[in-house]
Amino acid sequence: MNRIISANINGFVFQIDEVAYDRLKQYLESLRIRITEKEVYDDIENRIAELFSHFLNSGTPAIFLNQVEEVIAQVGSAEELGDAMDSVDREGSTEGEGAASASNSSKAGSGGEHAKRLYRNEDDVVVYGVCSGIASYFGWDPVFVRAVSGILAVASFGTVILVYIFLMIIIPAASTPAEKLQMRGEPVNFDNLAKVVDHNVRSAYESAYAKAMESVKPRAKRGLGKTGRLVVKVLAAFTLVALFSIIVPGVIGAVLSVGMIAFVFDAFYDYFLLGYTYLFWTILAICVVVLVPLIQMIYGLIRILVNGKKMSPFLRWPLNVAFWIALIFLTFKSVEVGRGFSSSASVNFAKTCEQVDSAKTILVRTETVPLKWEGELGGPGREELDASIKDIDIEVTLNGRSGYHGEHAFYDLMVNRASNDVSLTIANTLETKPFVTVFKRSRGSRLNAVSNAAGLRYDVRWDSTTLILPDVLILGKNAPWRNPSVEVVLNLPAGYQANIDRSCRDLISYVNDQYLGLDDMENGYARVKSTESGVEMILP
Amino acid sequence: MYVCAMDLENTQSQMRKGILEYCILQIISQGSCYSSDILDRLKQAKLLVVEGTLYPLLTRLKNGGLLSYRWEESKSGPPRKYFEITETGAVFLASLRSTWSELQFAVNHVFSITTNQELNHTENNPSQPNPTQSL
Repeated sequence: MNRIISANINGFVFQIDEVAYDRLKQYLESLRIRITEKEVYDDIENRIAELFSHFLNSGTPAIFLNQVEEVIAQVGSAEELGDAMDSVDREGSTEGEGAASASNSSKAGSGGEHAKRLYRNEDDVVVYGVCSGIASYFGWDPVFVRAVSGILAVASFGTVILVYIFLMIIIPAASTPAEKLQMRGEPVNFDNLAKVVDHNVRSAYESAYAKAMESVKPRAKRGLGKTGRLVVKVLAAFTLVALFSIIVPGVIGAVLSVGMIAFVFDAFYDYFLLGYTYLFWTILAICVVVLVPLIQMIYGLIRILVNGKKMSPFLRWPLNVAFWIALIFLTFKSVEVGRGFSSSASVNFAKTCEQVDSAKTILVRTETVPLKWEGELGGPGREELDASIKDIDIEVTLNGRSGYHGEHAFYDLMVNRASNDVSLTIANTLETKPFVTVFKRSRGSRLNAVSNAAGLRYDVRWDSTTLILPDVLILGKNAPWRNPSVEVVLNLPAGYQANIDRSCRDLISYVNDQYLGLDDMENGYARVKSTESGVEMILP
Repeated sequence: MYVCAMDLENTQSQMRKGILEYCILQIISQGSCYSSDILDRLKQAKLLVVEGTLYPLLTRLKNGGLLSYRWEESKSGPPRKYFEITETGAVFLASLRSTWSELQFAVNHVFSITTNQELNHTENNPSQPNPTQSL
């Protein structure tokens, strides 16, 4: 028993027996491969519809297999028509170029290479069939293409992976048999298949298709030839050796250096080690993203060498799924880290000097903040850290000119983590008393940038006419490092003078383009005075 | 022998195709018609083996500017393409006609010489039937 289904050719709707439909569909597909000119194909389709309409007008309720066969015999098989098309092509070129006709006819004779198109090959898949599709298009061995792209993926630091994803999106998969044949540019003879189809359309269809696929596979190998295969094997062996001698140690080295960066660069360190439980998963995801393509590549190379079996789907699919999950996870993680630095905020407070004297002179000095070490072995004491504290990066700005000296110093494993990104600016004011304004700045996500800034601890104080600045700012135990900094602005009314103590001597390195070393300081001070027009250095 | 067979096939199809184009133009020049009419006439004349061969030729003639077509609805089936000969086509056809009569003359002439020679042979051998008698 067969079903009757509705079909439509160029808008002409008719009823057709299921088996007849399959035969017709096959026939039309074989025509579509052979007849490259769309207009001719449409005309023939139209003629078929017309012949069907004759049958239907003469009283048959639907189109059956014998009628389809009759129509095919009348209109001509793909072979016969393909030859007609070839002769048309040949004729056309003779008119045009004459001499080129010989090469053209040989091209047309080899079965329509112009019909070859680039598809993803979903029947031979490691990731998404892009490599095997490209291999089919050029008639290469897919494993060879995979091996080369694998090497390129590592050598290009992953750029090729992005290219792969891009190609995966733009290249369609070969899903219909016609597309699969076009993918290979194969002039597969459907009429031979049709003979089998008469007995049992469905099973024959599949087996014939499988047969077509079989006939294609050795072709790809034949394309390489004996020497070609040997070269591929030598290349594969070479690549394997390279993998194990260069790339694998390279990957291990890269992972180690990322680990080092995590300890050296505070953003990484804080992000991964302070209060973030995802550390384990992040490291796992990085390993999966790096190792899965590596494993598949090594497997593929070994397969070339020993002609091994294709990776079992029970192994391949979990690997692919793990790869994509890890990649998505890492993407989200990167976005999260990026957002943690996306906004900046500034929180400030002011303190006025209440006890001004007639000398109208302010002394500025720093004070060493006690830092507690948390390491198990005790770690260096505050004295031992003094060497680096001396490199404190306090910046002094005068009249918009600034200079800085020293390096950032962070004390990560201490309870109170500190940053020396502290700068000092001297400005003049219209107020009657000198006052200091402290700007605490930090980055963070849109929601927590302000609380990050407010959470920074930096307490300036006045001791009579002396302004005492902590030498570092403190982050608090579990506060994430979000590029914190402090700017201290000392506002002096006109007529006041600031003597900057030698405890800050490393800060004042350039003032008005002049280098100010210790020797330039008069009595150990850098002196700045405020006038109606601004502030200026008092040079010795 | 194989090469010979290939040449024969090629020559036959070349001959047939040239004549086909001439005949298609001739049929269409008698008034606009659609592919089914052309197919009927060609099949009566036993010039066509399979119908599909007609369509590449029609498209070629149309692309060459010798034919034009228009769509017409059909009561019983899909819409039909009605072909008409263009002015270029008419000129083309006229020169084909003269070429054809030249060829006809040439072929007849060559054949008459050949058949005369054959006649001479058969006169010496009367048991063979005379091929010209059937004409």
